[in-house]
Amino acid sequence: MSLRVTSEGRKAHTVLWLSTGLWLCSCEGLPGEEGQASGSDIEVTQNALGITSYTDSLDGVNIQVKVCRSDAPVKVQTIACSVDVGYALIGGGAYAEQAGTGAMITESRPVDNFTWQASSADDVTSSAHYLNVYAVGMRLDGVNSQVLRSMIDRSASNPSAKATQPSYSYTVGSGMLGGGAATSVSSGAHEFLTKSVSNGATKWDVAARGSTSSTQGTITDYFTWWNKVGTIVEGFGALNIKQKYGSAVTVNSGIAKATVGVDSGYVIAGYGGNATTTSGQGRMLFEMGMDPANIRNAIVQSRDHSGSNSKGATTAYISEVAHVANSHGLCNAGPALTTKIDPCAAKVCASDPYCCSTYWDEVCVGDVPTYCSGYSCADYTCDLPSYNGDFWNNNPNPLVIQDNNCYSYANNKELGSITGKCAQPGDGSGQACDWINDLVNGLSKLAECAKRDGLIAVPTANCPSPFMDLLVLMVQDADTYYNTWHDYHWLRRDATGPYWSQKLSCGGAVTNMDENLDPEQPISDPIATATRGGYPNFVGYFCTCSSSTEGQGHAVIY
Amino acid sequence: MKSILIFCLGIFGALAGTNSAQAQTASAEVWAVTIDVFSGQPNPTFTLDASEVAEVRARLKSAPLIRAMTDAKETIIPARLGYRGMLIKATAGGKAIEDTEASGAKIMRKTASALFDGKPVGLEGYLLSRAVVRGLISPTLENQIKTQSRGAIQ
Repeated sequence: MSLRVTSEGRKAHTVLWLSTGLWLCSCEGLPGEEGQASGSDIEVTQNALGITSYTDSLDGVNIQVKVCRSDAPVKVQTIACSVDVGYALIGGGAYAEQAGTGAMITESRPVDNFTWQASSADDVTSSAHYLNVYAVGMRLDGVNSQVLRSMIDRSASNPSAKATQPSYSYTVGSGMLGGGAATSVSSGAHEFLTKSVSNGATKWDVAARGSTSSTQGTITDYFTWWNKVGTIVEGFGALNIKQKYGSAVTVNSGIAKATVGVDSGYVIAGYGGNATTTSGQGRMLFEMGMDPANIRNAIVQSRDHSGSNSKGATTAYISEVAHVANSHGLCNAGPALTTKIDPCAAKVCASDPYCCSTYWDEVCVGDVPTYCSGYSCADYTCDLPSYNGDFWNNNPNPLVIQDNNCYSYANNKELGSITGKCAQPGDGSGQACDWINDLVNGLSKLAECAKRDGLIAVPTANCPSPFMDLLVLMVQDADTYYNTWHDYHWLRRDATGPYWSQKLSCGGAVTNMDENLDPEQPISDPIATATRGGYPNFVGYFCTCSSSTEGQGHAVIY
Repeated sequence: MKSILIFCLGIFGALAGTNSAQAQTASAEVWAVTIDVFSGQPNPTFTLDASEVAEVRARLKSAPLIRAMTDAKETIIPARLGYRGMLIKATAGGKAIEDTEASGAKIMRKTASALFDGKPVGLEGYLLSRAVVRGLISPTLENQIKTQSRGAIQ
């Protein structure tokens, strides 16, 4: 397991509600600056406008928690906080820092595939305060981020009935990842959240309370859910989702702080909380979010708004996710699957129990289209390529040599004849990769762009599956005049050899010889200094789902 | 008033005629240069202006002939990482009028099917400097390219 915090790349939007009734939006997105590490294995990088990114990874499930904090204290505010392009939003939360009588949360909910939005206010003294919004994003190793986003849906209920304490309980069904709520008032100032929490595995319950007994309003239930429950995701396997509640913390007055930690083997997916009142003015939530000291812990806090006489219990909630151990795509060989993990696996194993008892081998893979109507492995079965320079260098279609570069070649993905342009890492995620102008974080950003296409970064020259092809990424030295990076280069390992091969440029030849050497020699060690030809910076090893058919690799890189 | 108007129309007409003639000349002949140096990123590409075209023409014309060639498909661009060479494509009305490769000390003018000695005319060094002027490559990369040319580009 690794815990890491990196610099921020996307923008957050701060919306300020002024007394004049105008909405102002300030957009934050300046390059990051180094911050302080808050733990022995946690690095923190925070940009000038208070956007911090935390990451956690476990067994192919990668989580980013983006924390967006208002850059100045404001009395009433809304912040939209987005995860990076390589992630799909699955959950979120909010924390209104306490000042004066204390601000409360009026809204904490998903907006789209990237963004979580929260709002806060103080109805008693209109105290200016900072608002933190947490956006939780997920990336799965081996799955293109754009494809992953299609597997996560968002829904919202109708607004509840109008009440002083509106509430709603919406049946989500299975696969609930994260939930939230938004309030609206018809009289009075604000409705503040008292509950935004899972009710068992299938319902999301929300409730709010007005700051005065005359406040009337509604509440709307929001949630994100995994639409692949009970099925396998090719390239990754199966995802397990779990809800967890911490112990209730009961206080007679003042602030109540409840916590809950992620279980071993899981990573965080979403935040929630519940504040009940047994006596007094009524407790409300002002925090449901990440413990800044540990991405694997959640904090929920409540208090009453105008006094300190409310007795009640506060409970922290999280949803958490994990890779189902030993699960993998139906279209690739690997450890035995189970009959419950996917209906197609059940059908295959009913015919051939070996697939669920001993090993999911090529025979099982071959059975998939036979027993699972409409399921094709044509785009998912990984295999190692053999060197076939002639396919690229002498292809009758001139676009094959002209509009494929080292990246499409390394992925064995002939795109030139389809796109008419040379693919860049990250194109497959739907957004161009912004790495070249960032001297400090450019190389990690470039690697991140390849990962969001679905490539898997590995620490050594070993792929998680013997059927995945190993790639190497190298980069030229930085440009000290313009303070930019110049160019990158990819090589692929071929099944025959043990040699490597490369395409020299967009328009250049494919070769398995290192012609930077005199005399030229087969490329047996792609990261040997003498052979790098002006690309001295080794960025890392990556694995791709290639193919034994030349030009037909399966990575979604455009 | 009428005469002034006629005068103005005359001026505009003359200007329009001049611009039109220039536009026709510019669109008739386009000299595009590609510096073949990158592997993943798109290579730097730019179009020469009239004075640069004249300069390149003069350098090509004065390059010493090494030998005539019979195979116009032959290339001198090496298959290696890093700087490989330059491609110059001059077209007029969509038809190639100059198709040139330059790499190291050699220039191959495919339209002439001949190999020339590029070092005395400094063609690559000149075109590199024009790319630097345009901000397409930095002086840092220019120096790296010169280093990779092993002295062929001064």
